[in-house]
Amino acid sequence: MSLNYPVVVLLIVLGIYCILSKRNLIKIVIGLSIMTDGVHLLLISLGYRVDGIAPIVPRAMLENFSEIAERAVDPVPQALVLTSIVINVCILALALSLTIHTFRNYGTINPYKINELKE
Amino acid sequence: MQEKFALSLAVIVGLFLILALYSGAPSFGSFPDRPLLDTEDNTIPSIGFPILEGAPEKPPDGLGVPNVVTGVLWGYRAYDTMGEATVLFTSVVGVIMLGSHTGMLSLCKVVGMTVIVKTVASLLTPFLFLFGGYIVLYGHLTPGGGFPGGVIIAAAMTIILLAYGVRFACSRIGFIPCEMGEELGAIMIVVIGIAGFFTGTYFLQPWAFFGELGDLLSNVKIIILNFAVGLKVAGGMLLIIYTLLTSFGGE
Repeated sequence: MSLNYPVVVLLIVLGIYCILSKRNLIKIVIGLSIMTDGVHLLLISLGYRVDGIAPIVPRAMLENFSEIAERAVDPVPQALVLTSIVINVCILALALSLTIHTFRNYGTINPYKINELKE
Repeated sequence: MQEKFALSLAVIVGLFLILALYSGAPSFGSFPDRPLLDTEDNTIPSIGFPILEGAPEKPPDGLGVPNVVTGVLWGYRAYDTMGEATVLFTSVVGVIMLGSHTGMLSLCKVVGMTVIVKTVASLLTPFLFLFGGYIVLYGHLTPGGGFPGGVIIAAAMTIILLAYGVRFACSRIGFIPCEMGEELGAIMIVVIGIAGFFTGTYFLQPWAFFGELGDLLSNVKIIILNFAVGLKVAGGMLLIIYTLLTSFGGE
């Protein structure tokens, strides 16, 4: 019984709850980050195998592919998550600068107060 | 009302996830249902590429690198990775557009930490730069590559920034070199991609194999692409950090 899947469910649920219920833009960004981490953990866990090795083929193992084939973990989710992490950083940076911009223009980072100010 | 709605939606998503993970998905650690490599022709079944046939006479047939993750990233999914580099570029442009004001840097206070932190930072950063360069250039042989290496280089610069303040850091590696590095990286990726046409393969597909599999120069194209993306990530991360800091007056 491994903890990966329960932790995945916990992280995604906490992230969604945080995004929907908080009234502070920075806390919403934190929730987004937590949810993305849950998705990354899910993708990595799907390609894992017990006692797996890294999918790297050193020259010493060139002759016996079958050993690597039986033990290496799936490389495709790892490459996907590698790109996803960088995109997550981009999104966080952009969201935080939007928060700074909002605070400069409206003087508050509560999205509901900004809605009230508009009317 | 809103709290209840958030809670109920989160619980519904959680139940759905539990249902999906424990009925449909493979249970944790049980990936060996199919072997990673087909041992008869050395292909990865989930990709369809043979990974190790890096022969110069038929370059499109193999990823040609020992590190399969890098091979997937810059061979099989190279087009996707290029799009992802574009996302980084767009994000940096957005952050600069929202956050920067002309003349903000000269308003920044000269802040720095104590002499202990400064000494440790100046001793540590050369090795961090070296380590970042190693991660970038050996990305096709060992775990690593352009993305982690670029982040390590940006982190090394961030240590200098924390110890000596924003203005000192910007006097060493300023906004303009970061911007140039980022754009040079983007241009290099596209040029390497187009060069694939002239070597008889597709856009961004493998070419330029030299020597045996596992040599340092065995796949020059992936080394150049890793270098380009390392440059791009380091420049982009530093630009984001500088812009977010200077928009707060360097505190």
